[in-house]
Amino acid sequence: MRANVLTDARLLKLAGQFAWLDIDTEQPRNFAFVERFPIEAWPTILVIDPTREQVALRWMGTATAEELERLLLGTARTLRHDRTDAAGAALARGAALASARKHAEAAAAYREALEAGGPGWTGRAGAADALLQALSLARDPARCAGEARRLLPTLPPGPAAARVAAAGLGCATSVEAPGARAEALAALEPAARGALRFPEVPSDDRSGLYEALQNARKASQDEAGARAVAREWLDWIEVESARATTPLSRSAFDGARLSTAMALGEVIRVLPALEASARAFPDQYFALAYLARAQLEAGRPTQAAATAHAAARLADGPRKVNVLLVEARALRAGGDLAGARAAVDQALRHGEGLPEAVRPKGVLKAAARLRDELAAQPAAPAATPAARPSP
Amino acid sequence: MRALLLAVALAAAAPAAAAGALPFVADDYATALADARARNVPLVVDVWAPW
Repeated sequence: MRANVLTDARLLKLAGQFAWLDIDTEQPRNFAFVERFPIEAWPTILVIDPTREQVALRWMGTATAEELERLLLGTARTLRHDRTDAAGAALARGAALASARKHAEAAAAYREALEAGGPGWTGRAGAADALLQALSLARDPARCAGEARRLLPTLPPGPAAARVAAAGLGCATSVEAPGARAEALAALEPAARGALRFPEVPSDDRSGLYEALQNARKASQDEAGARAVAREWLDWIEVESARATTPLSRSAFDGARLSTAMALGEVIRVLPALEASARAFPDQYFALAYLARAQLEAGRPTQAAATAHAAARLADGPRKVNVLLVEARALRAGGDLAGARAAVDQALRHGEGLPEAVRPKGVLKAAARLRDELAAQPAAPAATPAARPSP
Repeated sequence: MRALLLAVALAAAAPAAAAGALPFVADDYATALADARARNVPLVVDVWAPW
């Protein structure tokens, strides 16, 4: 988004019609903003009504420049009350509710927007996407998958339909009843597979489709099928990242690159690319953090601990907890239990000291489990082979 | 007066935006909100994290 979409000429011409703010949620000075406007996904675009300080648009994930232009102009019109637009008003109400973490109510508002707007409404794709996100966050996967199945035939092939297919399939994997889950997967897996061929789907959204397809195979207990998707995904990443024209746009693939390589047990294959990112961004924790995780997976715990330590020194926000956790796992894998205990204690101290809104609760649970494991582990002097870190 | 000065400063920055980058205020909600209020325009926020 930052490298490509926000520099597009379509958006540059809107410069004077809006005020512009970027917020890095890893920066402590922004924690108060995140407490006030909770964030569920990165990136998220918010449009805030400056008079009431209320969120009028909340767009999670990527968007094309054309989509973003339409969303911003539509939101501006709604805020100016230029015209009576029931659909736009319901969409803005949904955004405000979602920002207050009232996801079920937000879903109702988005559904109302879709009904008010009808099939020809220009905001339809965006509202469909927002509806699925709200239902997913409201932990209503059955409705989320059902809405995806209903909405997909009404959306033109393109980025929004691809996101709806991926989100719907993601929800289908979480449907509790086995029969309903199988039915939802059977309907949405071909839709997500077909969406890979849609035009103008941004890279992040294509990765989202592959991830949903991989998880769908896992949900069907088809490990070979999940591996096949991971292989297809990693092959695509390598082709796409080879076309990238800047280190930043190449490094944007690193997270997916690492997770697919881990799924395939082929981390060695991606080490050179992650090392290149670390060299390109020596002052950025994220490149070092990916490299550390890969080195640990590749059975190089000493290297991994040193890289993670360097990454942790550069990090200051919620994600520092995860970096310290990688360092602790690497130290344990290398046989340094005292060092591992110190790193995990630092991770817990840092994470628990963060404001509630930005505290990484899942990672802190993993850190607490590792602390307990280390406390129960006798001080064995011998180094052990690098263990695969628990998720 | 402060809001007026801010508006003038940011208005002066606007042509630079047209030259290649949107005039994002980095990590400063209060300043960006003051700009939005001074110019009576909505505030667009790009929320991200380096990862």
